[in-house]
Amino acid sequence: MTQVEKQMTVGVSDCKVTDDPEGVLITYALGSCIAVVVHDPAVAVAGLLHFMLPEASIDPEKAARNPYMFADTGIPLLLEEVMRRGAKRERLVVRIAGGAQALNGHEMFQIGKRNHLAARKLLWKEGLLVKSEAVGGGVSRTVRLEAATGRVLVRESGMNGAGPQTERSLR
Amino acid sequence: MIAAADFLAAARAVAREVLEAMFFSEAEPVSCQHLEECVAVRVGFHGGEMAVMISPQLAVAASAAFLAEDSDEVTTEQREMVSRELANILCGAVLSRLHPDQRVALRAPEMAAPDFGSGAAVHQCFATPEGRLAITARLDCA
Amino acid sequence: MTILIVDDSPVMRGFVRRVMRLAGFDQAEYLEAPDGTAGLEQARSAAVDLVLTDINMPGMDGEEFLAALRADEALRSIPAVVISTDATRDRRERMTALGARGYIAKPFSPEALREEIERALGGLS
Repeated sequence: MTQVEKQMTVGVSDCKVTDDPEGVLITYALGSCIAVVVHDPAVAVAGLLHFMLPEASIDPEKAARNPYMFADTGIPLLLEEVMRRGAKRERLVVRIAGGAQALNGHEMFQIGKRNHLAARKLLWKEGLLVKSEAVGGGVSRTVRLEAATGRVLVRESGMNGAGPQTERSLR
Repeated sequence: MIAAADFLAAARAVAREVLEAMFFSEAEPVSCQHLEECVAVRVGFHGGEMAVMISPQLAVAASAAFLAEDSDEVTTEQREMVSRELANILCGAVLSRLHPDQRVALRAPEMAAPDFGSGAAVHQCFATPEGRLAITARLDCA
Repeated sequence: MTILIVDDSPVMRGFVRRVMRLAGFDQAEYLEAPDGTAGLEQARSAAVDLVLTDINMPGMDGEEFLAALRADEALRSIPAVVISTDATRDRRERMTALGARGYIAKPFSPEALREEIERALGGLS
């Protein structure tokens, strides 16, 4: 971590984009939510969306107030915003993280998996292939994206903070 | 000769894989209910015939996902073509899993009457977030 | 670059074409054929750089098609990748013996197809 790094936190149902070469985008406590991380290496533009639910039709009023809450409204906005900063769709490197599942989940379709599938579906529709992903399992994740390099670090720990933490670069 | 229990186990594993990989959905095995309206496709193979029944909403959603389009842009023709390909992939994957040492030879998938699978010996039904799917088979020795 | 996609399903051809465009082959010209016979005609009349072929097709199937490519001196060095519902060992061995550089069984995610193409072509694009 350099001293001149400018860290921007992305909250739940939130999205941030930066073209600052010192910019670092970070989001915490990804449980069943998904982080979509995009980077254009040619212009060092970075974006991170942290969404909670797969489809705006689940709650159209909430979607109107905050489109970043849903995959199908948040992902197109994330892409619009990075492209407004000079990124080009064909150069974007896309990664996803999150979508954890509760081990004793009772619902037929768990939200973590639905979110993961929604992210993949939307990205396919938007004409983007996913470079790599850190998804599923019963872990909580923190994701950090460096605008200068496009490097993505994922830290994983047990859902209640218990258990060992691991950190790796998402290739 | 394919045993019914083996066919069902293969169908359950394959349906999940197929729906997730290429149709961005999930399939959860459930007890069978009659599908009032559905898109039905049959696929013949050496040793029997399989049918896949898809509820109309799932057929549209799966087609839109596969084609990378909006649901309201999917035409009836596209819905049928994607449903045929879905049945083709399901059948081929089931047979490959059941007999990994034999080549798979499938006949071209064909649209079928909606009640096609009703007399079949073997059925497995699935719920997906978008609707229902049923896989049925008539196995020559079953 | 000219890429030939051979599959009896038009929507499957479209899916494969979309993956290839998104995987960096967006400048390529795409030719399509619904069976081996039409595939051979296309390969003989255009300078094809890559063949992506299904196996189970009405008429000339993918195995016969690949064998015909290999038997033709002008076509035998065209790299081929098999995209098929047939995931059996026997078929994979036969297609590899006929010179297929890659083989991916349906179902596959778009990313899995991209990886197999990159692996088969050694990262060329």
